[in-house]
Amino acid sequence: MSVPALTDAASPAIAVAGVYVNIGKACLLHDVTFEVARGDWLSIIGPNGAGKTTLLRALAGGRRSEGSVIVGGADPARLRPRDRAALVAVVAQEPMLPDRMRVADYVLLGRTRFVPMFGVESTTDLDVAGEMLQLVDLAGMGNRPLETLSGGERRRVAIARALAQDTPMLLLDEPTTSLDVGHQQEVLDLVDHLCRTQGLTVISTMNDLTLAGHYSHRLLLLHRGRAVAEGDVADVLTADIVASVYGARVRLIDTPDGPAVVPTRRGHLAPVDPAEQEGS
Amino acid sequence: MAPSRLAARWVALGFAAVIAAVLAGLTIGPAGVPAGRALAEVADHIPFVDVDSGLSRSQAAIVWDVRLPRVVLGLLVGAMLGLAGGAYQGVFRNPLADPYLLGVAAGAGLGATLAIVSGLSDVSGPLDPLPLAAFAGALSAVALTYLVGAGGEERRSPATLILAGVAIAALLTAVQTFVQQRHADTIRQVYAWILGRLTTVGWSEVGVMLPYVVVVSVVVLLLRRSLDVLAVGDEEATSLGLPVDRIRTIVVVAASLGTAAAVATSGLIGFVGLVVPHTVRLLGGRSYRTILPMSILLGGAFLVGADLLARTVISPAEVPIGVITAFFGAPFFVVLLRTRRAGPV
Repeated sequence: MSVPALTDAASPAIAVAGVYVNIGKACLLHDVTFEVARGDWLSIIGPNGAGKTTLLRALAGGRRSEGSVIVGGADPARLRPRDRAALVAVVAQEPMLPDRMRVADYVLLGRTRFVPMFGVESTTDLDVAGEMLQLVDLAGMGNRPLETLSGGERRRVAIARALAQDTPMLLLDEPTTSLDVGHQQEVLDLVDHLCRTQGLTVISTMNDLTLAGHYSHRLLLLHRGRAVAEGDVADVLTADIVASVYGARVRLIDTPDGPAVVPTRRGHLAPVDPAEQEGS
Repeated sequence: MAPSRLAARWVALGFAAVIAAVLAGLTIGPAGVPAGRALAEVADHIPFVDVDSGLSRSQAAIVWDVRLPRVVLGLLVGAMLGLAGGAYQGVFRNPLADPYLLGVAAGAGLGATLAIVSGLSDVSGPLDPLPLAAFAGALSAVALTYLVGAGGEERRSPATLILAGVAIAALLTAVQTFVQQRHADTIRQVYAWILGRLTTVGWSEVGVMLPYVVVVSVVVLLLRRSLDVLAVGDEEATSLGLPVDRIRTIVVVAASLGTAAAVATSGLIGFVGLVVPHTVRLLGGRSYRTILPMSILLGGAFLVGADLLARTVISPAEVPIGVITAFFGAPFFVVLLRTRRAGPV
């Protein structure tokens, strides 16, 4: 198999330089440049319509772009699906979880790149899928139909499928959307654990700035298709930047995990107890 | 950790249905051949088996040259339509997909009509050009649909192909209706062909059909896992490493070829390709590892049963088999839909 190897340990996992995405006359991404080191977790943040998902699609090779997108040493848009699937696994914002499909069968879909076109899964594939279910704490639920899972379980089963793909990079589109705070933490703790223990490189788009700052190592802020800030959490998450890009009134409260971004009511600037607001 | 597999009890049920249908088809008929003797006659033809059926020459000929080829053709055509319907539903993720989706029916209808009105089809027997004309018409229609619907780099989606099929079918049906109106004298003949029948001239139709069923079944069954992957949609399936366009093309070409062959030998038999795969899906789950093989077995059994009714209910006359498949298939399916939890494709 001609999977481009991650040859040089020092080279970045992802290098994006001068990338544009145009659809008709609409410019969705404008001259975006950034790099992600191996084992890092970068969150792409920005208001709705800023181009977060478009950028994620370009990284996954599903969106044609101008400029240079190098993922694991290759341009994902030029790779065959099977080779691309060896580099990056994607968890969509609303993963399609077919009704009446069993959890085990769904996780096994992640092994597609290891299965010949005219074939079925090997025992290795079954073993790996079982391990991944265990890793996301869904062991013993292999026979459950997907539609019986809770919101948090649905995200975890989608992540288990992505992990079964056994790639060095994981792309997560809004992994916490529509989850309650407990399930949000559950999913992000899992990704954090994988990032630390498996050396996964993670790129996620995030709407919740506080969670983005607490969990990811670096942030990339998009605004109208342009990268307006990139770097460590403390450099990107400032009250000024958030106020100007999101058009929002916020105050930042330092917590041991990083800044908490707290929206404030118009004309209402009463002190906020950080302990109460954390993780909201 | 175990994947969904084809359960042994389903295979047993499928083969039981096929055997029951074959036995009924062989032993029931107007010629008054005793059932046991009919079976003995068939057994006698098995190599190294020597049974004296005690049938007269003409009775033996009825069993071996009339009933058996008709039963086998029913199995093959039913299997083909069931498999093609299931395959189309899978690659298009569309519960309404049936084997005639991409214009096969309209193309075959036009081809057959042209053959009938031109008087070409008056040559009967194995040299009958009607099936050939229907086959050519069906394949041309699918090729046209594919050319229109899959052309162009961007915006290619399964829905585009289906819509192209609808447009091509409308166009060809218009042409066919026009030709038919201009030749009102042949209208009965055209109509009889369109409603489908399993009449055979000895074993020749079986010989035509068999290679298609074997090749198409093998190709589509080998892609059963890929069809399961397609359930998560084109974009996710591609990101999992599946060459989605290539899989869809292979399955559509194979299923269309098989359907064209079925239409050429037995006309347009409706409802089998739609109802059989959905019945399997409702009873046996959503994996194509179950749907495809079971659609082959139950499609064949269903059509042989329908043909038995078609030739016995108003015997000695025959009801068009398409009437029977819809008359019994539709209520059965409605009951099933209402009593089982409906599963999408």
